[in-house]
Amino acid sequence: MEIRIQSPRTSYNIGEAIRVEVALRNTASEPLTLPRLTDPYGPQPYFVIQGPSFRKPYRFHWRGKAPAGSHPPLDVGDVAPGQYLTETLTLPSTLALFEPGAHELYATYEWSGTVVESNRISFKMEALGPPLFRVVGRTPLFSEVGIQALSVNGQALYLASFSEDRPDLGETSFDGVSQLTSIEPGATDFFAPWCQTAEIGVIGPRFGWRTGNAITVAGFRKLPQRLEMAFTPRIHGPSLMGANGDIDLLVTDAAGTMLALVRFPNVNYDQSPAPARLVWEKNVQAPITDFTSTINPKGARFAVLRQGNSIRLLTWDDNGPKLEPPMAVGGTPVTAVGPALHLSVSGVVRASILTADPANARKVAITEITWQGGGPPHAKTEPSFELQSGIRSGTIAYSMSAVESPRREWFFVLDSHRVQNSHSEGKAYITKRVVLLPPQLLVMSHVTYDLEVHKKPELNMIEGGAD
Amino acid sequence: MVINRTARVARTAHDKTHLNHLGVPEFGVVEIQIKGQGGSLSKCYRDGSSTTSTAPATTGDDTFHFAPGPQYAAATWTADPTLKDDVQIVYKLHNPQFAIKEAKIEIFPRFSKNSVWTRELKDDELLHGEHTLQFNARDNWDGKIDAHADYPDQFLTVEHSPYKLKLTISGEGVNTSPAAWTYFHIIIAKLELEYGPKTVLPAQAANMEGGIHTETYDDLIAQGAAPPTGGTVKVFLKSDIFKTSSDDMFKNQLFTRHETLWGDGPQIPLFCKVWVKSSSDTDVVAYKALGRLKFLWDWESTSVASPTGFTASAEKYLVNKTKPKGRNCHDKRGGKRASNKPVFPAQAGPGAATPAALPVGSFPFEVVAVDKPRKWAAYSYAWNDGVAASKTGVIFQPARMAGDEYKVTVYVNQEYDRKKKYKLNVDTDAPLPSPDVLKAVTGDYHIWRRVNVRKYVKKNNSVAETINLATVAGEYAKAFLELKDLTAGSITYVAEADWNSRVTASVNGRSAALQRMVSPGNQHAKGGNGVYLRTRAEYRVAYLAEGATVAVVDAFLNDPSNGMQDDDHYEKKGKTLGRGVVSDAFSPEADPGSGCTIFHCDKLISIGCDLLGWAYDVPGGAGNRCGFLLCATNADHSAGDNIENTATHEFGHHFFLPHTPDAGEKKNYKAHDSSITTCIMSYNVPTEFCGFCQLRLRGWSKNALKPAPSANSKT
Repeated sequence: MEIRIQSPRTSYNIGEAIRVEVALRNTASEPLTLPRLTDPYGPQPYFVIQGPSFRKPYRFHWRGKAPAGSHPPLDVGDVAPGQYLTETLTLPSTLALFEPGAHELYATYEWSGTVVESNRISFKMEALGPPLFRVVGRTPLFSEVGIQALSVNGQALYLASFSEDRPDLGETSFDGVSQLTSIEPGATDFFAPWCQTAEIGVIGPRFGWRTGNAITVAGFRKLPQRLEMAFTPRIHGPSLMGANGDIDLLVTDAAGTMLALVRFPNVNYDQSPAPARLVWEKNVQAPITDFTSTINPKGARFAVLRQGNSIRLLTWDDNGPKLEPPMAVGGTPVTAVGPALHLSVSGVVRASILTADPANARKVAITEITWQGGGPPHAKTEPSFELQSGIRSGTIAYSMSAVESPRREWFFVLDSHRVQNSHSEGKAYITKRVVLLPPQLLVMSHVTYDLEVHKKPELNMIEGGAD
Repeated sequence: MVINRTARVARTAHDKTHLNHLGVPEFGVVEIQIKGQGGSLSKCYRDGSSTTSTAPATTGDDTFHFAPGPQYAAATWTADPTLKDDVQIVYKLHNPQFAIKEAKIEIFPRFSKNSVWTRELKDDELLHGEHTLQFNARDNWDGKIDAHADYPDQFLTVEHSPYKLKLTISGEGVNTSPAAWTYFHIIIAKLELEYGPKTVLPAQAANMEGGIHTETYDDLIAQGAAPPTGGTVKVFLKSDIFKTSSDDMFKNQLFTRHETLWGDGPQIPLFCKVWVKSSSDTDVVAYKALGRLKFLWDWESTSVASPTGFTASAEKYLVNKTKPKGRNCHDKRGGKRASNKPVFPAQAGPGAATPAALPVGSFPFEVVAVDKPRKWAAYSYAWNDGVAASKTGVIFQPARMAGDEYKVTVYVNQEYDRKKKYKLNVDTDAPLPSPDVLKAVTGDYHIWRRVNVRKYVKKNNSVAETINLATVAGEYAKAFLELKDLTAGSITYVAEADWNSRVTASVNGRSAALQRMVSPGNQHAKGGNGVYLRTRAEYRVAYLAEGATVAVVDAFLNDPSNGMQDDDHYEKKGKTLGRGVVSDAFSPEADPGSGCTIFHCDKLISIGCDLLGWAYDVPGGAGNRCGFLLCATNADHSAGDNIENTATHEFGHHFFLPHTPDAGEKKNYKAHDSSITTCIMSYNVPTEFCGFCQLRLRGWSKNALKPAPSANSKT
């Protein structure tokens, strides 16, 4: 028996799946009955890896953990003399390849008490660039879709995937990054969609960026759609992806006095896309300083705009926007923390903004404005609390799900480089992990996570409490 | 001495010599004694200078005692007029010349110069010779005295015993023996502990699960109708309290919810029957003879050191410094050792008049804290009438901390000095110096938590293995938590139609892309795995069979946003799908009662999945119901590991225990013994719960413990 391996690539970004082509040849004169190499109950092959991530040779079953017990392989067949078993195996995502540098790998296969070793191959693990992530928003009815975030690295967009392995325990795993598409030089202001559905399918999330006056949206084998605007657009918050795959994006001009809706129609895999278009644009008197938007499972869409000390609810259709009267909120707006928005299935809209005491910028308060059933908005300001230092960047977020009683959490990175969150019991603390700016919070059904980076991206629980 | 006497001279004939003698009369008390039943007799005393022509009796006993007042029949604990211990007060006067003018008999209680009863002797009672003091023209005395504030029923009582009965006389002439006296006692014969009825337990606060104290009571009674006089009994604290969110594991919720449920501890009504020694040395229920006698209730911490280093170290915290000393959970960790929270909480008692029947929902006996120095003890008082006459008691309220062990002693607190300082009110270690008859001692009350396992559900009878619950319970027993198996060995199998309809409904509620993952056909009949799924290759075939093009199918499968880009991701998705579907299929089987339900299938899904089980949240559970789903066989476990360990581990999560840091706990909650790596809450081949986990399971406050074993000890 003889085993050989090769890898189609010589370098991988940390978190990327590493695929290894394995060829097992029967060098005997008799046929051998062997399980298919990818059989989940196959006892072989094993790999041995060594490099910066594993200073000593580390041996592992190709699935990460060898199948325990006596479960027979599912798919067994004969391999004639001189013939091969070939498969492309993906090294397990649990393999902690988080150190950049060259790693050496070989495979072993044990058969009838004899162990054969393969040739050695080498590949290089490359560190992710400066962390830039945007969470893909869902209104999940089921969690099978997983947790995903747009990850930008160099000239490519990646999708970082996470599993909430134990929502009962608040434990997650990083499932790696996969390349989606390449991006243009100079791309900036990346955005990910907030999706009407939480279903997997041929209609998947697409991602965007700005290059000069142009906005581009693309996805995995979804060709880019590019729209050149008449002004340099400012992008706030997520794009909104409807169940039909169309992506809408609200933008303003640099001054915030022009509000526009642009649309990127759905596109199928490898198909030529319909052109992106400007649906409408409208001048507003008071400059929009910040805003965010959302969509619920029924497809209803709202945005909340901050104009100085005022908050306005925005609805729209293809004919244009409808701006509700502004509602003044006391205190000084904290521009480092954008507004949070939640839209329940029944259509109750909640927005939260952070303001500071004019006399003490570190003394802040969250005001929630609720719009319900077409009635007048209701505002409620929570008791103020004093931070250890000013806020460098922060996020307020509601439950991702469109539940009727959402949780609300917050996470601030302070000027003192400490962080403070809605469950740190009034204390700022030091973290060794890289916290993203702005913080990417995921308020899941049981637990709230912050997306952080520590060698690899990871979701760290800040708090629980079922919706 | 000057005395005035009128004398008359007798004359005879003139030639006779007259001789008249004028003598000074002499008188005195010869003796006074009390005669009891069966020939018992008190001893008489006079001072050394007293003389009378007749010498006093030398018979009698200094320990003479009797039982004043009416009595109850022990068998029925009701008054029986035929039962009494009347005595006779007998005295003898030397008074041949009628010289005694005044005489009185008085009773003095201990250390008192003030009599509590006085009887002036009159007329024939002063005559020379032997007398039996009459009471309403009867020879017998039942110990009744005149009204006196210290004697609520006008009977002499144990409280102020011993007594001095003194006869003092005066008259004209020479008083050769002005007084004689004798001593008598009213003494306790024995104390006998019993459990009071559970109806006297105070009504519980609304946030306490109804009936938990009475359930504890019933468990105690099941172990013995009366409190143990030796050995150990278990006090079970039903505590079906489970996490309702992941965060519960990181907020000391186990401690606070156990505290909310059990407050200052279980309530056990301990009654004590009090018997008085009669003059014939029999034990009688002389219920008027106790008065305001104090009974001192004392407790000792008798828990022994745990074998593991962490728990033993934490238990050692100020082990010899506290009053009382011991290893029970210290106040700083939430326990009652060195705490101001009483083990015998104060009770108002019945008030001025004892009711005809025991009250419902309030404790019948008055209980007050002992003042310094033995301030952890309590005094109680007995009833003097009614159904609880000659009984006293306390609510014994040990801390809620499992593993704590208590021994209770009730003492007759009768001895005091001239300054009214009680001999037993000292802060020395128990036992206090007291004769055996003046105390009653329990065996050890060992506190245990109890969590019920109500139901064991398997998908079908293809699931061959069965969790040995006794093995799981054995692990929890190390933390004094009884995992009580209420299944009686019964296993429920989900009906085929139910399983299939639930799976179908669950799957149909998902997207077409996910539905395609599920193997067609009878899911129940396929075997013991939770959900039978297509492999990724089979998925591709099925998708193509629906008419999709190869290009679309392959793009779909490779699109990372669909999470199926390789077998590894596909199986992860299958795992998540399987969790949802299997949950939906099992959930209706959850037992409605508080406690745990076990769900069991061979594997979660038919394709690769390394999940062994999970702490399953039962729908509608309000923190008092939980589930554990086992989805692995012993063969799926590493060497040395097994399904019982998985059950123990997952139950541990429900019981608020987080993973160890090396098993994924990222909160840095510091809730495990840092000196070991094989806590059962890790993913390493486990040994047992680490000491930190054990103490938390016992109810100790996590916030007061540190991961390093030695950091929890203090001398």
